[in-house]
Amino acid sequence: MTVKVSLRDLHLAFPGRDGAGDKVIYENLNLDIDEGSFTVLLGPSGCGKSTLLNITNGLLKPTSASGIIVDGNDLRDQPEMSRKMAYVFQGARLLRWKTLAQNAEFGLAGLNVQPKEKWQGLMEKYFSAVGLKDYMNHYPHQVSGGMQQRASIVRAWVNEPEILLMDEPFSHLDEITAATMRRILIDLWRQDETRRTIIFVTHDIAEAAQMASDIVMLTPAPSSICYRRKVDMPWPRAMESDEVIDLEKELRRAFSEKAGIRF
Amino acid sequence: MSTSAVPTDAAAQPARPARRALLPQNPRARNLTLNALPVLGLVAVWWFVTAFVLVQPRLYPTPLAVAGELVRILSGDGPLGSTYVHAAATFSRLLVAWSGAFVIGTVLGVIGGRNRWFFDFCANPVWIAMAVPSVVWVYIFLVLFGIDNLVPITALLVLLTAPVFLGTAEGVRAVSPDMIEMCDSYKIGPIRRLFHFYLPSIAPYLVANARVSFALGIRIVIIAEVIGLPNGVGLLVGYWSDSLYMAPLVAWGIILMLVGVAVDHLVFVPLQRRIRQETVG
Ligand SMILES: Nc1ncnc2c1ncn2[C@@H]1O[C@H](COP(=O)(O)OP(=O)(O)OP(=O)(O)O)[C@@H](O)[C@H]1O
Ligand SMILES: [Mg+2]
Repeated sequence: MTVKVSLRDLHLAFPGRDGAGDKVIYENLNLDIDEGSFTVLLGPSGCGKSTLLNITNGLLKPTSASGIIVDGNDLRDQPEMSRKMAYVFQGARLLRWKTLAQNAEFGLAGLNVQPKEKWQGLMEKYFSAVGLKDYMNHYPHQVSGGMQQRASIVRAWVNEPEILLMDEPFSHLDEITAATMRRILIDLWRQDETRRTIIFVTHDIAEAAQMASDIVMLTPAPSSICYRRKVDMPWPRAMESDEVIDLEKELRRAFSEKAGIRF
Repeated sequence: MSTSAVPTDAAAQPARPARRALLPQNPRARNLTLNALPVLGLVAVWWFVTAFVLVQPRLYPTPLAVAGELVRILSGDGPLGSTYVHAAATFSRLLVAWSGAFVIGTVLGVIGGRNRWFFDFCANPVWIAMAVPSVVWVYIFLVLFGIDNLVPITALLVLLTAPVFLGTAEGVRAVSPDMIEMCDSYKIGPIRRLFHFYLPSIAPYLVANARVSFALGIRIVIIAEVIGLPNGVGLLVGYWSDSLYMAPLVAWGIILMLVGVAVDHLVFVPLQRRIRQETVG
């Protein structure tokens, strides 16, 4: 398998407040992400998962790194590499004065997706895929929180990016909506013949077991990768199936043994 | 239930008719009456004082004399040509300088709100512009540029840019860092970011800035005209003040006040209300 994203010797420390020592988030972290994988970053709150996505997207510079490699190029030398990515945030982060469609268009314009004539078709395709075709011309406040989050997924997906960065996109949603959204996301991802690379952050073990093709577990900060495994299980995965439940158990065990977290 | 201690409706009834007699029922009409009452009271006091205490019509004009001057001004009659020509000169100066200041102040303010270095760089000039009295500014510009339309317009532009800059920068600082991160992530360019992100984000601040700077602008433009311009309302104000004849002076004061209130209620208040409705949503 080809490596799509590679973080080499990552160091990051935030300056401490009030004379306290620096807060070290990563010390010599190395992470390779395979092309076309659904890689789930699993870790406790505050361990630096969002930060890792921000570094990958070029939004944040690490203290030092010997490489932030995307498709063989270092992001720091070739910032345009980050145009291959689209980011879904923890909250929807929609512009309230634009309709859902205009919000998607905002992203298309920013990432400069060409040709422009394609935009309308792309938007219709992906708004339909998440069941929002009839709501494209609604404003964010006219739809529910779950619909807003779906619109924010569309904003990322319409760009047909090679890499999708998703930061706990369903953690604010109720469990029923979240379950639907997970299914929609997996369907979207599987329907393309060349699968996009997804880096999906969560602290929800069940969510990881249900979706991942590759699981990366992080310890509390200063965080390192304490456990990693591939998951060779077909989708859609039923949450109550034995394989998924076994995987969850294994992940829980790894968390307590490798990351020192008790359940 | 604790309502037993509260007087019943029947007991409260008798008080009502008395209030009804004083104020009209219709809420709009009642509001208008409430607004008008203090004004009428002031006019009454004014009339009493000028008619019986300070009987010196040139210096202390009666309400009636001022009303007469109001009519004269509105009919266009004035000592230095049509009052409307002067009003137009003042208004066009105000409009040019105010809109220029609004655009420049907003753009600089957005940059200042994002860039601490730029803000600090601008902060001192801005405070100087705001702290030094406008009269002083007008004299400085007069010395620099001579009597010309450039004087009041530049003076106004500089002075009005300052509060717009500060208000905008404050608004931009209040923009959520999460949303800025979203724009960064989607590589939103500077032009789109300004017009589609920052300006809509700070719309309530923009209206407040427009409002404050317009009100400030009316005052400064008159001062500039009094001091050094061959036309405009300020020239007329200066003329009457030099001839120690106060009735038209007061009449102009009333007109300027009414224009200010009218612009505020017809333009800025509805605009602010619309924006508030849209952003609450
Ligand atoms: N700009 C910053 N300055 C100082 N510390 C920061 C900054 N950004 C993040 N941190 C710290 O870095 C750590 C990792 O933050 P991050 O947001 O990546 O956590 P996370 O794993 O995404 O947590 P969560 O699951 O709660 O979202 C946190 O302890 C946080 O306090
Ligand atoms: Mg996070």
